Amino acid sequence: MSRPGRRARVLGRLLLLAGAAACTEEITAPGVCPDYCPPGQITVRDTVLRAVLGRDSAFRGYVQAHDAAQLYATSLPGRESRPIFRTLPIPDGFRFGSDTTLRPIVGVDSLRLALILVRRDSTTNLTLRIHRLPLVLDSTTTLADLAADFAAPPLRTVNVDSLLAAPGRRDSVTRDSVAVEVGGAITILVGLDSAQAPYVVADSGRLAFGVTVAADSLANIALGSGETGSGPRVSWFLRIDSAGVDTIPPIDTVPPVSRVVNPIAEFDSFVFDPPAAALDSTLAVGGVPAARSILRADLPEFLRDSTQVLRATLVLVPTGPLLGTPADSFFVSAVGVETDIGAKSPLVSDSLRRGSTLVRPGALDTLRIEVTGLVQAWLADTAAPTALMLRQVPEGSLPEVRFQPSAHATLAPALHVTYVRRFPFGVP
Amino acid sequence: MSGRCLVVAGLWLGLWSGVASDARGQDAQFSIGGLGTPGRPEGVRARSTGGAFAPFDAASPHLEAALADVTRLTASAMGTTSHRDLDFGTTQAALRVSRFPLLLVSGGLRRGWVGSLGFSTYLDRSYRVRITDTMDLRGQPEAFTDDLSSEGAVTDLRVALARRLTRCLAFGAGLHVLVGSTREQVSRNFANPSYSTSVQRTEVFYDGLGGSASLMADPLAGVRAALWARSDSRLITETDDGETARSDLPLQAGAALHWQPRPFSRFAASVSWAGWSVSTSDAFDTVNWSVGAEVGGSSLPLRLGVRGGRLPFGPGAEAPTELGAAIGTGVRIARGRGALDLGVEYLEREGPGLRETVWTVMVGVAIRP
Repeated sequence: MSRPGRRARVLGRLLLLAGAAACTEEITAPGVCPDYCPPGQITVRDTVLRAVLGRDSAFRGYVQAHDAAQLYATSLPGRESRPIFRTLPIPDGFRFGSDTTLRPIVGVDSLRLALILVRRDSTTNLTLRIHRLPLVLDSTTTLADLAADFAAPPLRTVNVDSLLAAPGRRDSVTRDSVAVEVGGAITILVGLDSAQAPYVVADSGRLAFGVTVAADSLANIALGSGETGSGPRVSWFLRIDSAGVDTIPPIDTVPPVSRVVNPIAEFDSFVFDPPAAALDSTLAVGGVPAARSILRADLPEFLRDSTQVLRATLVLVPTGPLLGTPADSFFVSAVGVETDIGAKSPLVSDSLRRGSTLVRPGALDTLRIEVTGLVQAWLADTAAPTALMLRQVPEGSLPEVRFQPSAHATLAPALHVTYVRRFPFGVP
Repeated sequence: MSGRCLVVAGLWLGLWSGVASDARGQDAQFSIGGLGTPGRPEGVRARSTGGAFAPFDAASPHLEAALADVTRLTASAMGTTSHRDLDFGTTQAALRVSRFPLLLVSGGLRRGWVGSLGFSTYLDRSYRVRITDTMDLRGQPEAFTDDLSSEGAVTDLRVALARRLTRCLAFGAGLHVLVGSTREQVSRNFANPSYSTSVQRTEVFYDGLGGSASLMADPLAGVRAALWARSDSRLITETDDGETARSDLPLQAGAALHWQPRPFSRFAASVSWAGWSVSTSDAFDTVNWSVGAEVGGSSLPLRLGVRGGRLPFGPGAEAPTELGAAIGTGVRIARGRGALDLGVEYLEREGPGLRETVWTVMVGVAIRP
């Protein structure tokens, strides 16, 4: 290779090296202000907008007791609540194998009632009493309607704490047992005999029960309901006339399917006293039937035009403390609406446009709910309705909280907003 | 310039227009608070000599009069990669950038006139600064990180004409259109996730106009002298909301001397002044100088140079200083129809609370179709 050729080759390699070095870029320098920082600063402002929320209203009737996710059993001063339920009918006979003959139920050996305790307070001697109720239960049934039935001696009394402490969590005499599920729920299995739970052909085996609760203190629990798939359930152990010979399946072995049936509750609800107070000018959230309150915002121009909202917090002042025990704590959620049509405004499904915070019984503190995503959505879409609905989560629980309305002179709802002003681009 | 040549020039410009947005020179931390870092209208050859040869180099969009000796259509461009180390005393940072600061097409027209069209960086406005601090919000100290960045430059689009008036005297003049834009973004990110990250971005546009004139004389054998002056109007800054700023631009002037005692030995020196103090209240007038040499023929000559002076923008009562040295070489390829130039430059800048060192690798390409 000639000398110029070698030189060109060396130069080419140098060019390749230079090209490789040019492929990366890093221009971030630490800011040593003010000498070596760009002109202009990011300006963050924090303000409480007291007059932007208004035209509020409260509505009741969203979730009834029989629609609730939990059945409340409470015996507290000033509040009594009792779960009630009616089981589904069972067939009046069974077929065995290829035998097409219907073999009738001729009697009941026993019945096992399963209740799932999904919530309880820290207490001792938690006792459940199972009462037999008339079958005529529906959404209009009240505690007063069933007063006589609950006044009668209970079919069974089960001390949950004793069962939990028993070997194998089982009572060898009554055959009651408990099981602690993943997540902390407790399944309570209560045995009833044929006298306590007779099979009545005219009722197709339907049974109705009520549950009362007692404890040394804080007698306040919730049972699962059919709405969440964890409602009361019964297991019938039946006598079947099988070719003239009664069959009693052993209770501790896997029984033939045809002889044990596990109907879920046909109807479940809870009756309570006192009933929910009438709505007034305050912002009611929760209770049964569930109440919601709508708030409408009128965002100021400066917020709409030239700012980015970094944080927005809804500030609500309760009219009084939430009554109840620690287990009565619930979330108050502020949810945006797809369109503002008052009580029936459809709520947004977008989780970014909702915020929630826990309300604890006894606390009188101002409630703060983060609604940053919701306010940002309002600013981004000028056509979006600037309204939000306050609701309870889970909805349909007995406690109810009320907040001061926008008409209140000093404690009206407010929006605490942290925002950044438009940066002065292009100013040297 | 013939029609064929114009087509070639157009294609060349079109090819490079894609990188025109990156047409930035060497940025400096000192200029963050000012209009930007003034670019250098110097090709790789001139910059490898510390800038001393720029007034006499037709491949540098500096003196229009230097174009008078261009006989063939020539297109040239350069790219640079810089490694910049910042030392604030307690804080250090290492930055790395690549730029395409220059593109030029020149060629002969009719009746001895030579024309040139091209762009170079007038003011570089590229930076990204990260600031960490704490502010009180809702009664709590909240830590945050700000990122403020600007990407872009004010580009000097120059149309120049030059003509040799006599055997010993050449004249040139240029019209400078200052255009360009910067993509600017500021963001604040709080450590507390309860606060959203704020991001604001916009594009800032620049607009200005200027003119320049230059004379080049050969008073003695092997000696060439040059004088030049340039005046620009105002730099108008605009965003989508309209005009945001209007800054006066400086009057600039300079002189240079070139001496070629032997065919393969060339020396040059130059000095220039720029009245940047008219632009902002805290800007400084600057004087910059350079001395350089080129030894050797057209194949792999050795180029050396030193430069010094001041930067127009910086904090404090005195302008930041700049001192640098450069070395480079070049080679002719394709029977002289192409040229490759390579150079390395080292710069030291110093101002209140900051010492900046910059290593820049330069690559230049020239084509003579």
